[in-house]
Amino acid sequence: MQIKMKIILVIFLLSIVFFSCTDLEEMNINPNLPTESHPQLLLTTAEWDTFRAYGGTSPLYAQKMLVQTDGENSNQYYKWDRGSFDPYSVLRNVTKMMEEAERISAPSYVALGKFFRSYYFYNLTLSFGDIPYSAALKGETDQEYDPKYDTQEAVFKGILKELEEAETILTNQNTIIAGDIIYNGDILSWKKLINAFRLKVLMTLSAKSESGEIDISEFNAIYTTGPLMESEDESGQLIFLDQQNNRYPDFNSSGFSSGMYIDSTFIQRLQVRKDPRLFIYCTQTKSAKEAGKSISDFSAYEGGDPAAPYGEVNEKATKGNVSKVNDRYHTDPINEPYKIMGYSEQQLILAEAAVRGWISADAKVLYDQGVNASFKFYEMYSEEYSSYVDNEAAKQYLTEPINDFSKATNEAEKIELIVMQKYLQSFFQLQWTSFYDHHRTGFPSLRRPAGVAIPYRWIYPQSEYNFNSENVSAAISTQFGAGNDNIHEITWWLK
Amino acid sequence: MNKNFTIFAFLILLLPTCLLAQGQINGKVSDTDGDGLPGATILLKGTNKGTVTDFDGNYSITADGNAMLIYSFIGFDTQEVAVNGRSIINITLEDDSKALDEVVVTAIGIKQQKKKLGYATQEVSTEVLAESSTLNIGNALSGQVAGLTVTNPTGMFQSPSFSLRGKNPLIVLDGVPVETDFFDISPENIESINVLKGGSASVLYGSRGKNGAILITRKNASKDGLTVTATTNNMVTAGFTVFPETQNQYGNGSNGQYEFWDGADGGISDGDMIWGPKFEPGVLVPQWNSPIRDKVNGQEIEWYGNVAGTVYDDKSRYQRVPTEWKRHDNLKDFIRTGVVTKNDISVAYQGEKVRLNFSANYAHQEGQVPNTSVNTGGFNFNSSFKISEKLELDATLGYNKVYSPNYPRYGYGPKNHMYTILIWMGDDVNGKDLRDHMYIPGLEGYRQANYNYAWYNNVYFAANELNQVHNRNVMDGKLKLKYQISPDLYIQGRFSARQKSLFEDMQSPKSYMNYGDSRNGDYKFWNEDQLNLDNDFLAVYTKEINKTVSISANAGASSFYRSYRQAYSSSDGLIVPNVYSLNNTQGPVQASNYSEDKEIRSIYGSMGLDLWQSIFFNVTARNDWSSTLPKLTNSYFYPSASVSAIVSEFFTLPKAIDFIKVYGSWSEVSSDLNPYSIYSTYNKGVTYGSIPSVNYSSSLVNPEILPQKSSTYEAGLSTSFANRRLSIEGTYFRILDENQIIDLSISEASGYRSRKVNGNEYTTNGFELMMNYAAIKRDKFSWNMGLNWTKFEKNITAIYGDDDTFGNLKVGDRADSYYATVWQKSAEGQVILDANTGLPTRDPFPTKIGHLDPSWRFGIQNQFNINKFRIAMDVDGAWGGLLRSLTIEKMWWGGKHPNSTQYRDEEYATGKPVYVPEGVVITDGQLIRDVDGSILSDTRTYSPNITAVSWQTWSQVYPYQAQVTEDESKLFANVYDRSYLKLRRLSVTYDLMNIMQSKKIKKLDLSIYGYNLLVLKKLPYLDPDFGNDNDLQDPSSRYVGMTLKAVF
Repeated sequence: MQIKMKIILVIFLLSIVFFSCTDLEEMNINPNLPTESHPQLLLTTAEWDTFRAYGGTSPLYAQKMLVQTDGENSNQYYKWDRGSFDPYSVLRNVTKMMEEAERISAPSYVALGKFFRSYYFYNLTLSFGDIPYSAALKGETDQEYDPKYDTQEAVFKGILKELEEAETILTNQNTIIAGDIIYNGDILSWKKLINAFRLKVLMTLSAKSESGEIDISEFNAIYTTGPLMESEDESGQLIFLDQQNNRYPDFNSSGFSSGMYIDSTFIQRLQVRKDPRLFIYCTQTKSAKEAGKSISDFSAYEGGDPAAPYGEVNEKATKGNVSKVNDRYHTDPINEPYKIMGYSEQQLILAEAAVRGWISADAKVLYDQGVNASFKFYEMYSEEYSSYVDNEAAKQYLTEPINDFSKATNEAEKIELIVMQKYLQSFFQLQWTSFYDHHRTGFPSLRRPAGVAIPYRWIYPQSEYNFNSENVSAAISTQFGAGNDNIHEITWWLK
Repeated sequence: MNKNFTIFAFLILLLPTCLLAQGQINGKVSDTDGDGLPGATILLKGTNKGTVTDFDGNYSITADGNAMLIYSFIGFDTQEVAVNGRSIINITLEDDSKALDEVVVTAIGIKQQKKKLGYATQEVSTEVLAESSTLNIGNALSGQVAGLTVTNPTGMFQSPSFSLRGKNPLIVLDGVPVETDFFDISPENIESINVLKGGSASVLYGSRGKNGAILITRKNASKDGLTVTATTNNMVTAGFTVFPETQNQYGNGSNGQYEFWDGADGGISDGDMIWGPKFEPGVLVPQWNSPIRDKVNGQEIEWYGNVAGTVYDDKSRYQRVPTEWKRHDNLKDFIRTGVVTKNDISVAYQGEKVRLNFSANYAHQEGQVPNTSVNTGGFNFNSSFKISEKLELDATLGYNKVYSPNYPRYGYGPKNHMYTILIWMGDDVNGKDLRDHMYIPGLEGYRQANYNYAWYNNVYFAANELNQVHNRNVMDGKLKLKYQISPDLYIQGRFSARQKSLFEDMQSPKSYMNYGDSRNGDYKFWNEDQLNLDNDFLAVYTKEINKTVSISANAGASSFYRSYRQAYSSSDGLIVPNVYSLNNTQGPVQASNYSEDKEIRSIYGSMGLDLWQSIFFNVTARNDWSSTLPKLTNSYFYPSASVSAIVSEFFTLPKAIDFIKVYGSWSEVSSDLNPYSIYSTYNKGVTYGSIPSVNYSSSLVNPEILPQKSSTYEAGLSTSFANRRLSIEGTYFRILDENQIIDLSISEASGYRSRKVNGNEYTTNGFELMMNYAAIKRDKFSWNMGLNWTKFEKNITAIYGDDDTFGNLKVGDRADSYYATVWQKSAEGQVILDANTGLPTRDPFPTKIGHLDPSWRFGIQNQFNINKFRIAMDVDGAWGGLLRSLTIEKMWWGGKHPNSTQYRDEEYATGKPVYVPEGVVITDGQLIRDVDGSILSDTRTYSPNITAVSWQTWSQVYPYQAQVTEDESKLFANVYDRSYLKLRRLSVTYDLMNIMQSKKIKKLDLSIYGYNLLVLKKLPYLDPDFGNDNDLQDPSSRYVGMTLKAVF
């Protein structure tokens, strides 16, 4: 009997240890998150990330629109060093979207994937030069952890090819693309944006059109067959919503309240052109406000010299004589949509192509359309100021001799006018477009301290030095000579 | 069966009675702490007949009613006791030698004589800790244990963090591993704390114990009869051990100028910075609390804060009347006296068959930050029943609560009061007005009144109007059943559960500033539930084969299950102020939840062999099956072996040496992953309108991942001299961490930032020294000193894929090497300045400037007994290591740094830069470097800098935007030596019963003490004991208090 008791006890004690019979492997399946997804969910992510990430204020400092007064801004003084490979992270989601699309045979998502790839690779190669492209983004599928670099030329050719493929795929699609927060799934609108972006890429390579390294006839083909955007409504843009996590990226941003002022060259450019967008971009200076000047008084605005030591600008600001960014950029939860490429920009690109003789069209008409569209954008989205930028105002603006395209006598002047109009509409829009236009065309000029050269590129990220050193070293050597990874080196597209 | 059982149970109950009739004597042999002594010998005087106690110190022997029993145990005084017809004799042996033969609790609750251990353990004297109590017992461990580093955050409700030999140890409460921050454990209720240092010590805890363990045992009855203990403890802050210093000559503004209008640069530099006008008599400035004057009728209106949205927002009609520009001591005014009150009562009863301990405790702390407090309290019940001679039941039940209606917020940001007051608020701001006028007149509940509307909150508004609740309930219970099958063998089973539920919320008022967050008020809350189930089974066999050989063996199995659930909800803005409910949300409510389960099953065993009672071998083995690893690799094995020898038994030593013990051990431990980390999943992304999205993780999983492995080798020597006057123990250890599960960074161009691999090897070499010295031993005066000292260094000795570098680290580097962003320097080490601007440029390559961890640490505990007074004094400290100070960097930037006043007057007077920084400018040539930073060519030539730089600009660049060591510049350094020496504790205790008469009170100890009293350090303004300076620290307060403990 005692033995029985012992057995009972032992069984009892052992059983409390192994009371649980759950399968250990099953337990480790995450109940919170899925392992598969419909590509539409990834499309929303890719679109949100792309259209919301306007590049921060860095391009605005480099493009002489902002000056900083509480510290030395490396973009303002062209003292930057390393760039970032962050865009590859967005492309990870794009890659997954394409994989999931192939899994369920939904080619539209593959097409949009190719567009996003092109968009990011375009920005990456302009930032650095040679970049990982053909071997990139294969970390999961091919265990490719340190991808080799492709030449910038190969990247550009790849981009153009992918964009063409994207266009072709979409031509054969007719279902609405679910999860699309830009065009509500409208395929035609996407085709227009993709074609417009193809024009942008080709225009970027204007320096290569003469050398024949790039076949520029494609530009005319796209222009003639289309489809292309026909109005500002069709711009590739994201409209922000007044809802948690959906608000304008700079809503409530403290940075706007101190230390950030408007560049004097930007203000002067708007002033001399009698450009009413000045009122939408900037605030009147404190002194002007106290003097009771009206919003539409161009003399109520003044900027800080981007080339002066920041302490000097600070002193000028202290005296109340420097304009700040218009409050709506940080107090309006919706503000304005963010465009990665708009109708206005498309028309200006076409105008430049007409000037260059790539297409046969009336450059002035295109130029005027571009300007009108930009005015229209602000008329639609900055309601408080819409009266300054209505149709009438645009018409008036284009009659100012300095803005009048017909007054331009030679190709250089025409291109300057066109590029300047792109520049003037890129305040918190279009990222680094004007910076690259500057390198491509020489316009607009970018003011800086004497002896400072404008960099062409960024140094490759420290992470590449650390984790892909062989390939990045090779890319540096072939482009600039061993170790010469510096910001003043010129890459293929400008050579 | 049922019937049989009843009869059996009945017999069991009768058993003691029957045995008694046969002259059986039972009892327990314990040490003075009440712990049973295993292996103590009981001899019938005048015979060879005898027995030894079991693992818990219990014994039984048959003897005549008038026999004499001799109780002996190595290291304890032998006692002779007459039976006198008793059937139960419990004996407490006084130890004659603490060093060698104390019994300590080791892994999985097995009690061992210290001499048998082949690894280092260290006990903490809980007596002293109880006398000078801290709210969190974790803090009290500072400097007490060699190898255990405790960082002591200075803020209220900030929990200390532990590192044991550089790793994060397991906390074991009453034999059950727990996850705790110690706020839910009452310090008064702790019987003993023992630290198991190496892998060998804690190998039986499996992967959870891979980094060593801190074993905490709660109290149970240890004295016969009823004992009631009541303790009250009260302490207050009495000044500061470290109080940050800032410049107090200049107020808000920039370039010496300031004028308030909207607090967002709408006035003159009223958006940011403390580079404003000097405090001088007669200076008048329009300020945030200045009255408003109507220019039309000259009327003055009292006003606080900005005027946005009111009729006064019209500069052409209204102006702020300039008011006196003077200094306020805001931080001192803001910080109030902290108070801690703790009360504990425990009732203990020990009878023949039962030991019970019931304790209740309540503590209340008023923080130094206004409107903050923490309450902790609980009931704990601990019991032990002898159901029969062979069956014993231990049951514990605890309920502990931690509740704070609001506690301070830390971190570098506008929620932290230190962020505002210390770094970003000029002394011109009148703190009392901030306190008395938290809202703009007429906008109560809607807009705070403040001196700044761009970046900061009114600190009083932030402290009083934003509240966060922390409400934690912890229940734990344990049932242990032990069955003594034979004198040599027992089995036991244990079932324990610990349930933690936590509610936290965040009530943000309208206009509260937390950068990207809503300015419309906000309500967020989190609910967390965690259940841990730990069950185990153990069989223990011990046998003394003969005088020279005895063996022991144990085998066990255990399971560990943890479930965790979390839910989060948040409003999007509030409709009506001060109603913190989701019902009051402006936008859609956001919510999410998370759940996680994990299980580990294990079997383990150990074998011990004792020879001549002086050589002790022990081997252990454990195997775990974890749910978090892939099926193929989810089983992993941990072996360990140790030997300990009292070598002095084999040699004749000089008389001064009491004994010499040498020991050594080896162990191998493995560990698993976090749950759900072997499958890749999509995470929820933004919801645009009502359109959801997902995104994919940037780290690549590895379904073939193996458990990581770490091996510890340890060798030590312990000895004592002159009858334990001086005892010394030294331990050398070497830890080899191999096959680490690392998130290996990869090229971002692969689409991913990291992938999980097994790789890298780290080697840690360390030495620990523990010493005890009875310096003075006289009747009325004695001085006992304990010292511990630790030095260890962890190096990366191999890198995944035979690479030369891992991130910034190179093979052979200390793992805590500090690779910092520094300024570009010439080949001779001078700072290179830009010829145009006079400013330096950052070096794009990170540079190693030293290491972060201290070179060594130490602690000294002194105990003086003077007459009937007992005085304890503890000192500890660290030497070496670098500490980057965010506070100092930001003080330079903002203009609060005490040294930032230097050239201001001169510059404002001359109106142009006067400061010419020391450095060189490049006249020609360039530096070309490889991707690893090595120089390919350097053709640079230099000339000394002659460009003057605005002092404000220089202060905002050089000591702020890159790391500057003390060697580079004493004046502008932002990286400092960590070394410090702290007088941690001083307490004086006196038993009032010496001067009082009472039959009822057995003891009435009064202690007066101080905690965190003094510090010597190299780091200015801050307390290095806080740990790294990345989150800003509260002033380090000195506590003084008094404890009264009565035993009835």
